[in-house]
Amino acid sequence: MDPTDKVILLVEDNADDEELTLRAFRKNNILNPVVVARDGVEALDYLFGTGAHSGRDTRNQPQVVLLDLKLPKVDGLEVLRQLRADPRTHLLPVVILTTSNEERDILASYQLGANSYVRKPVDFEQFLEAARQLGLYWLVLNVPPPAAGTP
Amino acid sequence: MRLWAHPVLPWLGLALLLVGILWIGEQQLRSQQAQETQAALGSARHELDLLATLVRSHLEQGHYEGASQVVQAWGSRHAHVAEIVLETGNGFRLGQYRRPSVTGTRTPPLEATLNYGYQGAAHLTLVHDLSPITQRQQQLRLQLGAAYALFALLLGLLLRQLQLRQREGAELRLLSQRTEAANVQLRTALAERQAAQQERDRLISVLEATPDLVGMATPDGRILYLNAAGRRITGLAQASLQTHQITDIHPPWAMAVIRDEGIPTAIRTGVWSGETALLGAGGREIPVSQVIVGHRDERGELLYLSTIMRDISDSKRVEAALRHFKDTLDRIEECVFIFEADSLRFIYVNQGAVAQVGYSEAELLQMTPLDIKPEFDAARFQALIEPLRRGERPAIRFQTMHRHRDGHDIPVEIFLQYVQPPDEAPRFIAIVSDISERLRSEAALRASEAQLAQAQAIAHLGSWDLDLTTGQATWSDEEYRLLGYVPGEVAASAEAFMAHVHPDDRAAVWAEMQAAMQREDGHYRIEHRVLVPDGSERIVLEQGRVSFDAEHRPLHMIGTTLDVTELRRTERELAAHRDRLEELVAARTRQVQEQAAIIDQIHDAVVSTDLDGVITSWNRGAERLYGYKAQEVLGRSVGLLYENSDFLWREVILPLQRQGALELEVRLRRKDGTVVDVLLSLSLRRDPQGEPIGMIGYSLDISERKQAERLLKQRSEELAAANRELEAFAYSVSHDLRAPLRAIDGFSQALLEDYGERLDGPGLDYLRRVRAATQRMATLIDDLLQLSRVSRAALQPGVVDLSGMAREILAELQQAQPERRVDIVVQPGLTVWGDPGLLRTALYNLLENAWKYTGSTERPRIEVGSTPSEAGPAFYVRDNGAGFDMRYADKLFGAFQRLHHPSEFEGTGIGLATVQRIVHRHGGRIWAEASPGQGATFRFTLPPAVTLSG
Repeated sequence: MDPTDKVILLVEDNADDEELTLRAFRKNNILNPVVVARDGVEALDYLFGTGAHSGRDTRNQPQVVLLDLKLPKVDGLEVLRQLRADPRTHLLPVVILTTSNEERDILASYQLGANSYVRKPVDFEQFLEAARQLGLYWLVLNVPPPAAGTP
Repeated sequence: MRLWAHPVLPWLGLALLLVGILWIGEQQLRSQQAQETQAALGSARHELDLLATLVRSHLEQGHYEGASQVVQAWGSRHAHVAEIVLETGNGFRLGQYRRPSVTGTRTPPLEATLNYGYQGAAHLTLVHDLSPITQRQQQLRLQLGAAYALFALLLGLLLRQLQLRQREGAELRLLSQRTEAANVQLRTALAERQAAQQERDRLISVLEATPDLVGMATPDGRILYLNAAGRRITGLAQASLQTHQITDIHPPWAMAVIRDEGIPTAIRTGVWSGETALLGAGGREIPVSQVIVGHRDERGELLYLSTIMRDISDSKRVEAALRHFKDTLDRIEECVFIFEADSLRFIYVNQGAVAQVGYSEAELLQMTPLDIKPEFDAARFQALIEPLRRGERPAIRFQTMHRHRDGHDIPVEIFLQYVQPPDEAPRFIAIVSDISERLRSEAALRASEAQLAQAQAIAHLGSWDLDLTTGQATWSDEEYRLLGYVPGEVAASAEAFMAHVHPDDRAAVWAEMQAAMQREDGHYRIEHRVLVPDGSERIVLEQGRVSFDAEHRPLHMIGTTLDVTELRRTERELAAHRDRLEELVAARTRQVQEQAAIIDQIHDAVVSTDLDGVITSWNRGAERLYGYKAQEVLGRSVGLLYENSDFLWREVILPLQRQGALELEVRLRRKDGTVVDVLLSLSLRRDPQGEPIGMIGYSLDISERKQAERLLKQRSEELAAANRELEAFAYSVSHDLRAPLRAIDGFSQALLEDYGERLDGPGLDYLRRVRAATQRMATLIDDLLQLSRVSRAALQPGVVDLSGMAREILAELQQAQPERRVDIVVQPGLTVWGDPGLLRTALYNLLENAWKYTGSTERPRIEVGSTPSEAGPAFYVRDNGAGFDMRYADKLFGAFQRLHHPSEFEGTGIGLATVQRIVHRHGGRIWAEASPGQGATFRFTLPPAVTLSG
């Protein structure tokens, strides 16, 4: 299977973190197309084919969503809640990728159905390692749910 | 009750009742039979339908034989079927069943028409046997009949018993009434007989005194009696009197008159008078005027004849005799009234009569007995005298009243006789005795004697009478009893009495007697003790009086003795009771006054009301608290303290009256309009029977407490707000402060990788330093967050295996630095009660320190264990590492305080602050002992309440 078909949706408002994340993917030879949403609204528009992304074929959903929690407009937990409430996306693998290691955030994320919770390390080398493992697991090892969004 | 006794009525009632019951029973039976028959008909009809269906199915297929078999089989299988017939339309009988045994009642035939095919129709007839029902009914009727007969028999027996008992009672009563009547008659007869006897004696004495001849004889002429005059005239002796006949005293011619005319007339009409003659003692004939009276008993039978004869030979002698008679009558004690039988007018009254009624003789001769007999009117008087007039009774005796001229009444006894002189008008003779004195004295005597005896007995009052000249005495019965004797047991005397006086009192009694004799009025009074034979002692009060002769010499002394033993004892007891009662009252009064004073003076407000909330008491505390004076609020509703009375009733009065007591916090309004917070303790006041009579309320001013509560609430809200703020701060720190660090580190790394070959040595070193600083900053932020979390997190305690936890942590540390060799000693079985997460953080920090500071020790050793201490086991983590100078021990647990240079040992200086915070949050204590180069020991306790030993 051609891994390049597998889109990664990165929801990240911090340009530095976006750049570092993309760099980490590159360093780890993760060459999948990465769609970046810079706030919660943009992420939901992409996933549901609304707003700026209206007309997008929502049957084509990303292989994995990397979701920051602290986002402008609509925060990450709310994005997760809406995503899990919609039949088109409720099986979509979502990895919370965030700075916070507050217990309540971890708990809330898992309660809303996050598949994984990864804390962004300050040390870039550790971050690289995390990105490598993420890519390996979600893009290669994981068997995704059958095509979602059947009408 | 009377109805029962009637000989016929109860039987009639019983018969009606029995017939009624019989009728009702029969009706019940019939209606039951009808119901059962109806039910049988219903089921038969249902059965017919079923059978018809079965039969039709055979007929439609042409199975006539089958239809016949169905009919047969049905009939023989069902015992209640009497007959079934199946016929075709044209009368051909296809099948039949007839139960041979059925002879009794049956249902009318039920018919059904069956149409089958197009050939035609068939008729099915079904008859049910009803004989089981009829038989059961008859059986039932028989049983009922038997029960009914038994019931009737029992009722009859019962009624008979009742009647017999009733009749016996009636007979007994009748018998006793008759006996009583007979007794009364007997007594009356006896009394009358005695009275008659007396009267006869008296009359005889009168008759003996009269100069006329008065005699009595039997109807056949035998002489029964002859008065003195008669005996003198005739010369007959008293003793031989009854051997003579009247013929012996009359000359033959006179005897002829008497025999032929006088006696028959007297017998016939009661009285005969005429002139006859007597034979004198010397055979001389003496002319006499004679009256013969026939005496009859109550039944009218002739008893005897009496006669009065007067010598009429000498008119002077006659006059003298008459006067003598009159004088005699006038002299006798009894009053004599004679009045005409028709007009009732008095024609003679004696002097006694005149004296008795106070009218003069002349006046009385114009009057009748009715004028002086207030108890009689004309009719009653006529009824009284009628039997005499008719000769049914010779005389009557009765008691009545005579009214004196001055109006007072005199009780009298009257002997009344009817006489009918031959040539004068018939008249009545009344001999009247005044019995007032007799009645009075009899009654008075009886009454006074009885009263005295009774009074003395009741009062325990004896009386005595002492003759001072002889020393003799008489004692009343009660006096004897007082001295312990049976009345009359000993001879009464002054000495006998003195012997009973208590020896200590004798002198006083004697002195009082002497004193009484000296006194003008002779009054004697003393109270003293007496000893009675049974050995007991009594107290008596004696009162008496001495009577004197003309020279004031004491003669006589009478007096009374009153037993006052009981009285004095009661008085003593009463006095004791009174004293005790007074003490009690005084004590109670003091108590009540004290309570009132306490209630009035206590600081808090005490208010009592009646059940409607009207204030009945208001102490000074209430005056101080609410600002109203007692006199302003007494009699007003307690509602004046409340913002609205609805609340007062709904939340205070009604719950209180329901529960009996109530405690609540309310805001009440003072007189000046300000509001005060009070704690109200309310209870119901009850009377001694437990009935509520009012309410009492104790109000405590809790304004200050409420103020403090409000302040506290405000503070905790502020604190909560601060905490929330801190939490928000910590949250944003964990996100926002780390993100730039990550960027610095990340891009430094990118720079190093992508542009590293363009940098020289120092450039690379700078970049490395930038990266190290960001790492340190990240660690700092994490530690700070942890410290903050340790402070904020809620404790979730449980049992914690400290030994196991220590080994895990040490294993982790070992894994991180596998090349290090450290001696590890962990005491097994260290168990505590605490929050596992926080305790792990604490232990981790301590062990990590120990691990770190033994990094440059030659033979590193880390121990975990516990030693006993005052506050329970003290756990310790000991190492033989770098140690520290105890001079800086006070800085050890402060945040960002480090005792080592970062170049020696890495660290943020937050770890021990976190450990201390955790131990403190568990209520424990932490301290450390160390010296540089000798290692360090950290000890901490967790309080006993949360410590579980091994």
